Amino acid sequence: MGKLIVDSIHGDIRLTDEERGVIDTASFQRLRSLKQLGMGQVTYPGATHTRFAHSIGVLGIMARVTDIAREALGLKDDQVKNIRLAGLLHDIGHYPYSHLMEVIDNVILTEDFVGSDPKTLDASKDKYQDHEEIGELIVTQQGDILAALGGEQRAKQIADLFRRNETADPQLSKLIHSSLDMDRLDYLIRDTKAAGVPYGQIDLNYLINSLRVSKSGVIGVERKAITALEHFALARFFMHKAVYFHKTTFGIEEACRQLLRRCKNAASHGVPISSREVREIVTGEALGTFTDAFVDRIIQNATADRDECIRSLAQSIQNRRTPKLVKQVVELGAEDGKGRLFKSECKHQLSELAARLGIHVGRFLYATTKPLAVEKRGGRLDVRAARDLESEERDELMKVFIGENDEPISLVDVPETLLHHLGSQRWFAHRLYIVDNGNPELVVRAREAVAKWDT
Amino acid sequence: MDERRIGLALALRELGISGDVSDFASRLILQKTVYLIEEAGIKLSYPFNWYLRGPYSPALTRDLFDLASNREDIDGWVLDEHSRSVAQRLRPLISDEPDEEPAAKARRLELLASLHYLSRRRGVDLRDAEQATAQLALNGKHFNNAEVVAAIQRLRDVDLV
Repeated sequence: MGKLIVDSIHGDIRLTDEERGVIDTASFQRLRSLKQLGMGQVTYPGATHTRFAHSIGVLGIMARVTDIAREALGLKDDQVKNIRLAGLLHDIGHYPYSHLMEVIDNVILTEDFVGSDPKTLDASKDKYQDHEEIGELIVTQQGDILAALGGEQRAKQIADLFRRNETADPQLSKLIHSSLDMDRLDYLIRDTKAAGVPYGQIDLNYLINSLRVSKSGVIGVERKAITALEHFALARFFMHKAVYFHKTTFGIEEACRQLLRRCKNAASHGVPISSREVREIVTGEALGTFTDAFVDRIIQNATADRDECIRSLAQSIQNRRTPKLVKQVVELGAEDGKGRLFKSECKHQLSELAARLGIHVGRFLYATTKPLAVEKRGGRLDVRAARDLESEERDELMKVFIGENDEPISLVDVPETLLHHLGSQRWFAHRLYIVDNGNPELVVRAREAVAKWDT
Repeated sequence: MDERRIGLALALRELGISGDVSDFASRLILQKTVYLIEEAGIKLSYPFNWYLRGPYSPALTRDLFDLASNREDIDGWVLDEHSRSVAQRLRPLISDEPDEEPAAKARRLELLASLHYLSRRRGVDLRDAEQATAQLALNGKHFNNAEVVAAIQRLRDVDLV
């Protein structure tokens, strides 16, 4: 083992020469210019940590996991090297501002949401590829990474691992599927420290020291660590509520998503208009420019756009006049109809309200958070349905070794856990924002108008 | 609001299949159906990787469960003409065959989607059915040569290969 990196979360992480070679490439160094939490620093000023630090952290966790798995699975040195590299490279394909830019094809513009006229959804149009596919392109086509990995065949192997293709290495397949959420073990604790909130402080060392690998390669924790595992699940839930879905961050990111989608539709300000253009960037010399600054430049340029809506959105982001929350309707557990009613009222009344306020309807932003559950799949299932899951789906759930069983079972199946009882509960928020650009009168009038839209 | 989930719901409606996710066979049928319609040109942009039962997308699983709990309202949306025509072209492939049980349909679609994936992403030559059968077996899928020959022909019939 060669160089030592000191990480703020995991302490000393020893790198192999090959890992050092990968980290030293320009393609990997790009991750220094991607903030882990996108626009989260708007709310939490300290949250400026990067995908680079997170990727090193995941390597650190993978190193500990492979130490445990090596003996249990009889892993060869090459397999250990590959899985460590997959951990290191798993985020190399992230877009500027990460998930924000990646999903702009899925954004519904406000004027397409409101009204009752039929709207055509054009599913024949080309869409951006997801960051893992982009990651595969970078790893298999960027010369510096290819050279560091020793060629195309090896690069493809590593990409298959972080993309979780079973064909990559059948013996490692289950390990990858049940372990790449080691990703979460790093980001929860890294994000909580950077943001300065307590919600993601999980018992990392106890969890890792309690990891076991079954003979078939599935990772789980020992029964004694059930509380730590439940805490981990709840920490994730609270971090989403407090940080990832924070109303201010969520509002400015929604404004940015809608801005980028508008610019993409208008082919303006350098937003790639197709996945082909994205592919050209990430496989060519321009990769190094595909950073948060790429989007910052778009926002800057768009502040002078001729389109009133684009201009307003860009100015709001540029000047940190974050969109103001007009109303939020939260659902937890069974749907009570309030959210559906609120959405319907927004759909049918926002155009008229915008006209009354004298603003473009696009300055209203209606958005919903992703349904949030304490267990990834648990929130979509009752306990009976959870038992019907097959391998592909079950592999994504957290596992625990109970008794003398050779294979771990899902945490939601353990009756003594909170997740067994709360696993099917979901938190979900409908949010309506207004881009007021420093005009508080607009916010007051909008809040008055929508106050009873959920009753 | 999410254009991809709306597109998914509209495409399933156009194909005349429900978004039932209550058992594994139904979910497997949906996974392979969406893989095939994506490859035919309805670009929902779900990323698929090879897993235990062929092409599989965790993101699609998440959205299918969300759709089943009725979170996405598709009232007021229609699918574009090209995508509708793609859905109609694939309907014979996706629809139930006479007296076909869900498990049998799941197996049939698993074979179709797996052959297509191996052909497009792993370079397996579908002109050689024996080789394709062997490749499937290497990847843990045991279909006989006659099933593979018939499946390749069905993919050809709808211009998927």
